[in-house]
Amino acid sequence: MDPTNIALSIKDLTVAFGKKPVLWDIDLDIPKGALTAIVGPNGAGKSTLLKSALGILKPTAGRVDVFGQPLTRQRSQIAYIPQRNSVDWDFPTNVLDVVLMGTYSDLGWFKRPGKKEQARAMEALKKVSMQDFSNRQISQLSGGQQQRVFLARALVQNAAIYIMDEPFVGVDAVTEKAIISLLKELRDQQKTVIVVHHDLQTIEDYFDWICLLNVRQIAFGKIQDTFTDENLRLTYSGHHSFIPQSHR
Amino acid sequence: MTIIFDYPLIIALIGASFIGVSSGIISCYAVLKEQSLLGDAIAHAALPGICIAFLITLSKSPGILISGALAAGFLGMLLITTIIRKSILKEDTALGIILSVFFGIGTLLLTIIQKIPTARQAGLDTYLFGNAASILYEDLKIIVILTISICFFTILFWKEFKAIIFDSDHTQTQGFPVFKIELILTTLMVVAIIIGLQTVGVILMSALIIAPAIAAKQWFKRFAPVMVLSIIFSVTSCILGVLLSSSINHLPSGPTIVIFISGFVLISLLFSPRGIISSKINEYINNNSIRAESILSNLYLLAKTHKDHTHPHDINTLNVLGGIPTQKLLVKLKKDGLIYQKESNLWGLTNNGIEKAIQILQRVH
Repeated sequence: MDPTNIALSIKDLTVAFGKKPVLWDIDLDIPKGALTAIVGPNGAGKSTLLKSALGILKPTAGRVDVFGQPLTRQRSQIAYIPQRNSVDWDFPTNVLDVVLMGTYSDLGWFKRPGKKEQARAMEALKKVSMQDFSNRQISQLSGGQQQRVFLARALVQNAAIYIMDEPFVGVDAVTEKAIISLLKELRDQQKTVIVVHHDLQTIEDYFDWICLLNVRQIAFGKIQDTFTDENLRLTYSGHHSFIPQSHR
Repeated sequence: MTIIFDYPLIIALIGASFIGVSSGIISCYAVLKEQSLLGDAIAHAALPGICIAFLITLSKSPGILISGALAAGFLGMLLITTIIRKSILKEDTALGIILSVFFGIGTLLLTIIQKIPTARQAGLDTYLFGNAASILYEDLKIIVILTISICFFTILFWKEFKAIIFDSDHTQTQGFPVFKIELILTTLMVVAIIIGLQTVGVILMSALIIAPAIAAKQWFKRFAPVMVLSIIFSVTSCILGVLLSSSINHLPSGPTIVIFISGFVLISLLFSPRGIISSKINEYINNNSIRAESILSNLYLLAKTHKDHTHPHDINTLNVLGGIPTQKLLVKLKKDGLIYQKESNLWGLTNNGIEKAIQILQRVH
C-alpha cells in the first residue's frame, strides 16, 4: 500500500497481562478514508487493540504510528468513542456538557469552554439529530441517544481518525442506521473510521476493510477478499453460524 | 443545655466551617468516582501517623501531628494502590487490610502513649471521635490555609477533574496525563480528610466524605450546583454538630456532626424531586390514571355490543375484565363528566366518555 495512504500503522504489537498474551504480534496498516471493522470472538483482544492504538494501554512490545508519526505527537488526529457502558450515566451533567468535553484537547490546561466551543458542540449535536436534547440530563437518555451523544463528542474533536468500540450494542435500529450513514459520510470526507463490530450479518453492508482477530491476527484486508468462510472458521474456531454472501 | 459563645467555641466553629467546605468539595469527587471507601481507609490509616509523630517529638503542635497524619495517610493510599496493581487481591480486600492493620497499630500506639505519664494530658484520644473544642488558634491557621488550597486547586482543575471522573479513558486520548491529574485529586482528598480528623475523628470521618454529596446529588442535575449544595450541607452539619457537642459536657463532636449530615441524607432521599416520596406519589398518580383509562375502555367494550353506546352496565361485570374499580375512582370520573350512574350499580359512558374511550383504544392499539 502507498505509505501516504495509511492512517494508522500498527507494527509487531504484543500486549500481555502477566504471562498471558492478550494480543500477539499484530501488524496492521489501516487505510485512510475507509471503514474498517475489527471482528473476533469475546476475549479476542479487540478492545485491547483499540486501547493500545489510542495509547490508553501501554503495549508490551510494538509501535503505533499515526500518519507516519509516533502516536504521542498525533493524539489530536484521533477521536475515541468508548463503549457506552464504560461511563456512569448517572453523573450529574447534561448532554451539552458531555459534548463539550470533546473540545478539551483544543482548550488545553485550565481554560474553560466558552461561546465558540458551545456553538461547535451544538453543531455536532445537530449532526446526530440531538440538538433538542442539549439541556437533558444524561441519565434520562435511551441507549441510542447515549451513543449519539458520544458520537457528537467525537465529531467536535474534528479528528482525522475515529475509533469506536461496539457502537451498535443496545441501540435501536433507527440510531444504528443514523450512525452508520454518518460514518459513511465521514469516510466520504476522507476520514478514517475503525469500529469494533459484533454483528456478522451487517459487516458486508457497513464496512470496506476487515481485521479478523483472535489474540493473533487471523486476516486483514478488503471485505470481498478477506470476509470468507475459511477465515471466519479460523477466527471463531467453527463456533459461528454465519456464511458470507460470496459463499451462499 | 446552654451554649456559651466564648473564644474557644468561636475558634471551633470557624474551624468546623472550613472543614465543612473542604469535605463538601471532596465528597463530590469521592462519591462520583466511587471511591468513598478509600476515604474511610485513609482516615483510619492516619491514626498511627499521629501517634508516631507525637512519640518522636513529644509535642502536640498541630503542624507536627498533621504532618504525621498526612505521611501515614499517603503511605496507606500508596499501599492500597500497590496491592491492587501488583497482587491478585481486589480493591475492597486491599482497603479492608490497610484500614484494619493501620488502625490496629494506631490503637496500640495510643494505649502506649496513654501510659507515658507526661503525655497523659496530650489528649490524642480525641482523634478517635473528634473534639472540635480542642482546635486551637494554631490548628485553625493550618485548617484555613489547607482548605483555601483545596478550593484553589478545585477551581483551577475544574474541567480536568470533571473529565477524568466522567470518562478517564477519553480524557487520556485527548492528551491529558490522567495519572497525574488523579494524583493531584487524591492528594486533595487525603488533605481534606486529615484536616477533618481533629474535629470528626478517624472513625467517623468517612461519613463526612460520603454523605454530603449523596444528599446533594438528589436535588440537582448539574455538577456545580451539586457541589455547592454539598458544601452547604456539610458546613451546616459541622456548625450544628459543634454547637450540640459544646452544649453537653464530654460529648465528642464527631458523632454529633455525623447525626446532622445523616439527617440531611435522610431528608434528601425522602423528599427530593427524585426521592422516595415523590416517586411513590408519581407511581400512585400513574396507577390511578391507568385504572381510570381501563374503566373507560372496558365500559366502552361492553357497551359496543349495544346499539346505544351509552348503555349502562352492572359495575361488577368489570370483575371479569381485570377487577372492580373503587367507588372513589368512579365518583371522580363521574365528576369529570365521563361516566354517569343509573341506579346503585349501573354505570354507563357519557358521550364525552365514549370519545375519550375511543381515544384511549386508538392510542393503545
